[in-house]
Amino acid sequence: MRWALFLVLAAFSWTARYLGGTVADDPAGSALLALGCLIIGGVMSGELAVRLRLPKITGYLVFGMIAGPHAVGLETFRDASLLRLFEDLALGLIALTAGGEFRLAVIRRRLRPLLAITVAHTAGIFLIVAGTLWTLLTIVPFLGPVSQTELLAGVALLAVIAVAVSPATTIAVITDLGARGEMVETVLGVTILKDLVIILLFTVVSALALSWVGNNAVDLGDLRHVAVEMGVSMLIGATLGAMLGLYFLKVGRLAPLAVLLLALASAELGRGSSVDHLLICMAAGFTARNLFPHAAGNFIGALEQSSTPIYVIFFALVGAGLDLGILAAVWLPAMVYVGMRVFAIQLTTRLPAMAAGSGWRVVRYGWMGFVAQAGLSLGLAARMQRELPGIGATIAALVVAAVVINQLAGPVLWERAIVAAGEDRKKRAGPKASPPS
Amino acid sequence: MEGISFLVVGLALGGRGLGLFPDDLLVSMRVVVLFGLAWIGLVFGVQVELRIVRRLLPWQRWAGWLTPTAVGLPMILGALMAGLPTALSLGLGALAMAVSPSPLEGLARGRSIRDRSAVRLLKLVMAFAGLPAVIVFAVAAAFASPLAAASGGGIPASQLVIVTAAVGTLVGYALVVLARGVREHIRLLTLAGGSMCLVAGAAAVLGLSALPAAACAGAVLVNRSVFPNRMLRVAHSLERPMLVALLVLVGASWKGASFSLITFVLLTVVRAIAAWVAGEFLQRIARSRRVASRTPALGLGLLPQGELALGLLVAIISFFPDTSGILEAVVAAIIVNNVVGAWWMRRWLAGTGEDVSGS
Repeated sequence: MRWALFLVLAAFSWTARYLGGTVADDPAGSALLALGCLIIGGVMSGELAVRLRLPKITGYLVFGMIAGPHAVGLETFRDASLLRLFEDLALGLIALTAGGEFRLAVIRRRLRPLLAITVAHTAGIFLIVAGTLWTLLTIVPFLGPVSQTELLAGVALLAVIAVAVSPATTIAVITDLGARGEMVETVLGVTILKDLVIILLFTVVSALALSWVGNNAVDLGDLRHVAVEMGVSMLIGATLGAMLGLYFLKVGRLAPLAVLLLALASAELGRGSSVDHLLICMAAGFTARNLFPHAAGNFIGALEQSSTPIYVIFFALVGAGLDLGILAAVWLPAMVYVGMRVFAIQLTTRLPAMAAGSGWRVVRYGWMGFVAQAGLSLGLAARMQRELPGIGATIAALVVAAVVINQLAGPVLWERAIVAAGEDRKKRAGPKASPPS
Repeated sequence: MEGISFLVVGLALGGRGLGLFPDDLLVSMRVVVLFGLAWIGLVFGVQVELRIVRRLLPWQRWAGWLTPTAVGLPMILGALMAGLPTALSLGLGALAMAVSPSPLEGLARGRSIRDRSAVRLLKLVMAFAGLPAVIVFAVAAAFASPLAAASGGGIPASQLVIVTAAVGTLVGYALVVLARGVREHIRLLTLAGGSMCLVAGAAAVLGLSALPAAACAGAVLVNRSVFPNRMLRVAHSLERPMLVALLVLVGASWKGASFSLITFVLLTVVRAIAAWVAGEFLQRIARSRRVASRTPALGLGLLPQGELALGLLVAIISFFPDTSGILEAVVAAIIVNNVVGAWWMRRWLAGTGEDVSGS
């Protein structure tokens, strides 16, 4: 009945757009119709996913994929560009939550495993994926006829993208399950640290790749530039976070608007300059939570409680941006690439976790939290396509296809890991309902 | 009055101030404005509870309808005579009808007010005032619609009002069914948000105003829902942030224009006279029903304006053509009306003996 009603609403939306197109073609109106369909359909898909024992965000993602411009087209490419603002706002709020979850006490308590796993992931995944890919590509050249230097560049870039992970997905599943515990803290910490490292690593590797392909000298000027940008982003984030914390402490009124304003300002800064929106919001959340633990901590806790609309909007829009056509074209190499990456993640999580003295939960299930990939990987793929004409397009297609698989499998694995480790508090406590009126 | 401070904040942050809202951002912010207007409409709609209206006596319903209409009608006629376009005249009329109970509630909070005839009559009118205001605004929006103004004979305004109501009713019923069995506040809020996106989007692409359509959706929702109080909580939880966001954005997008003196005079002088006459008319109806009330210039208690008036102002500015100079004039008029209205209310409450805080 509810799905039939949704179809009626979708038909209504389509009809309104069709009729309105002739007289008052309003792009904002069209984008709102798409957003309305994505939100309502996303909520219902999330419920369906829970019934199928899958994470809610898998439901949001799949619905986004079906409704997006690459499939049914409830959301068009023009809508997507206008809805970028909502995606950025949602990403900012997710990053703020992630930063707020990263408390100093946790860092002090888990410093050894955090550093060990981050270093092992960065070096290990890169080397394992690069080595295996190199061997495979010399036997089966599915990248097409390419020179040795181009092959080397392609392999290096694919390997560096394999290190990337999706902080938004990690935090979304944690929030959804109300998860707390050693494994959750470790995985979240490593995810955030890797998010910083991957940007630097990609800059170095892409500079090397460009020099190999173009036969030029290596120009690492970009590295300094990127490091400065990251530093500036964190500084801006810390300043905004301190201001936000002070606002909570001294004023406290209209707190949701203050947070939205921060996310908006960060998104605008990210769009207008080369500072990183995600980093700014993470640093802001971290600063606010750790400098003003009561005032900001309570609010960030409340933000987690009311995260449903943020996650529906973000993941439905992310899903809408994923191209299923590319997956259909390169599914076999993508599966091989994903398989290699998962093997590397498993190995480079278990060994350092054991060496650093982490508990059995991290050793046995921790790796499942690093499978998901989303925005960052897609962004790097797009950059690669721009910077490496020729081979870049093939590699980007492979990355996009792999991201589709990882983003579908990642949340499922991560939720299973949390449940198996017994760190899912909300599910154990049962659903919380509003009092009957 | 607090709402006006948010307009000023927007003004300070926008193009005329610090320049933090560049033009391209304001274009993508139109999505937020449309959604915000739909949400304000929803908030208004969920207050229209038919079970409460049915409990009132017939004369109370008539008085509740006719008094705000009597405040707005001279305003519409005056605006038409001053040569303003029909749509804008009706829009200003709707704005004039929007009365705020906030000053009365504020006075009641700090003092011992006896809830006797004069205060009761005012409360009755204030509870009803939004309804004729939104209906008149729906008609005004229909006149302002590009569909009505399309060359080669546009669609009649009456049909556009029906389409507006149909859009809201359809989405409202859909939300009633979708919300069935949902208990969590945040999920209800998400579903309501999605539905308001549909109302705002459909209204925008069809060249209609989202506010009256969403008001219809809200009215359907609260009257057909199994748990109306939950829906009321959902609607009110976003009311304030949305209104603040709208006012800040309107302030930020203000480009500056010449002050519309006609609008200011109509909304202050003409409205005050109309309110005075409407007050006398209200007391006459009340006396004919043996409800004792003889308060001189009771109608001036209808002067203060608040959230609904500001919401209608944003709707007029974002939807109607030819609104240059309206913003400053309306804001100035709202300030004057609030100051005079609150002062007068305090005076006559003491005069009628209904304010007994001093005794």
